[in-house]
Amino acid sequence: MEPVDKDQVVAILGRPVSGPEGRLVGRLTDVLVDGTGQPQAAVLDIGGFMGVGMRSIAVHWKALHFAPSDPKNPITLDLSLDEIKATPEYKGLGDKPAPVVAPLAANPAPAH
Amino acid sequence: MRFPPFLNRVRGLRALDLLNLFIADAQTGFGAFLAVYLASHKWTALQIGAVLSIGTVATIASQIPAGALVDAMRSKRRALAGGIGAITVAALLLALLPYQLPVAVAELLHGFASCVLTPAVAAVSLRLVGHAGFPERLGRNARFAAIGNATAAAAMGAIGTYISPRSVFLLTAALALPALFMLHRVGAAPAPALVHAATRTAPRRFSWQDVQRLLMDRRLLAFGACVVLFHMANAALLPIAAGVITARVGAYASLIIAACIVVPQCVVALLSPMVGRRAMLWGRRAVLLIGWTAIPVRAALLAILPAPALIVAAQALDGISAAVFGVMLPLIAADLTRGRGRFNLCVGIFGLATGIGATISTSLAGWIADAMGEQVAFAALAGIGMAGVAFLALAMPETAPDKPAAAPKPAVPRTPVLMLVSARPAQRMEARRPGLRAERRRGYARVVRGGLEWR
Repeated sequence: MEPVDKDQVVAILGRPVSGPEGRLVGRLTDVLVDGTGQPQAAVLDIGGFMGVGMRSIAVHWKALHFAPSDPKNPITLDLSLDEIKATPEYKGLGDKPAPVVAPLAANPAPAH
Repeated sequence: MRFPPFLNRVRGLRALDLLNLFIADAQTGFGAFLAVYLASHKWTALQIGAVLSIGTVATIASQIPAGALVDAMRSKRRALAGGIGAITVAALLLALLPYQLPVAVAELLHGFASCVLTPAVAAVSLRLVGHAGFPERLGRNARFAAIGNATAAAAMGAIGTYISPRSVFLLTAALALPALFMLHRVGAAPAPALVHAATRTAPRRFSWQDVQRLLMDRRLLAFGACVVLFHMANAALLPIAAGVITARVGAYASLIIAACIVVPQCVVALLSPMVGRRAMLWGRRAVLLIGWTAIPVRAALLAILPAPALIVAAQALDGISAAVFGVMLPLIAADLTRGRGRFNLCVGIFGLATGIGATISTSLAGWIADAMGEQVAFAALAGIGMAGVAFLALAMPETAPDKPAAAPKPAVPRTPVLMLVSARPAQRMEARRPGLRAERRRGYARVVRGGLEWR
């Protein structure tokens, strides 16, 4: 058994995601992993009011930063509001490839 | 302390106002917000979709049984209390046990309870004011329900964001207490002249013949079809418009969507009483046509208006059709069942039509929006709305009982204290001969006449 300190890891499913300015942008609802189990992208529910108008987007894993020691803002998304706005909706992994948005610097690999 | 009957009546009508407000309040948290709440408890999209469809199916499937149940219950107040209680239990289950089985049970409970509440509130109102005062009363009911919806949406939106999603359901459960208290006060108002009116809205002995007669009524089928078309055109408009706003507007998208939800409710609060009065003066058809026409107009506006502020303006049109729909559905049901009973079953049938229309709308328009874009979806909904208007104009007969009377007075006197003084001499005679009252005071006379119609 390997002990894990609460300052080293953080639970992320269902947790709020903040934008670069600290504004709440959405909630992390799913993680897409590759064949080796490495996370490639995260699915976020963003926007809306009382659930009306909410939509899902997939963002590249490198666009997310995690802060286990900060329980209030554990997840930060490194995308501007304009970039988030321009992201097409993620509708699950169907026949078409899923649109995954990444920050310009990250140079992402495709989700699958 | 014992109140004179007249004051009791005014008190009962005021309590009914607030009862409508609190019931609408308590309904707000269910619906789209549940998806946000469950996602915050690590539910997957698949689980959320499954449990929300349990709720949808439960609501559609319970409409007719719930209507029949309310008909069969001698005390509509008890039906209401049961419904409010079930909403409370559902909200507490959601808040305290966000796991699959309790949430599914909560969705079933809420689905059935909401189908009991709609007809039962209308039935209690009908018992209190009689058929003659019913259109106006429904206008007030809709006004206070809209105020409840708007304030609850704003308050729950704020606490859901800034405190926690769970607190929304705790607030929902807490709102049942004032609702039950108001129900108690409504019941404290005796309306002796109307006791037989109440029993006539629902003969307790069940007979297939009655039900068959109701189902074969051409007006019921025509209005039912109009309701399906109304919601087929209407239900998907807001979600799709909100999706457009989220996709196009950055920082203030949530605020604009909130405005798209709250503004129509404000319009409903302003217009509903007028809708009730116009339904008495102009007849039902004219008012229905105005409300139904607002839908294709709004859909067409949403299709061509790009700016978010204009989308909010188009949404204000939603208030017109929602006000007409909210008042006219129970009113048409009362017209169709006047003197025959099965009022609640009839409301349930229209509720079923609502559910079917709304379900088709969201899946159909969602599919069109995915495949061909939002503009095409709005245009398609406008087309369905126009079909609804045409069908209404061609197939729906007038259901008002006879030529509408002269300008009616408000069912609730604006100055109850003064009225109380002036009504006092009549009060004692009223106890012995209900008819005497009719000659003395018009406000009450309408009610008495309404009550006497079932001789």
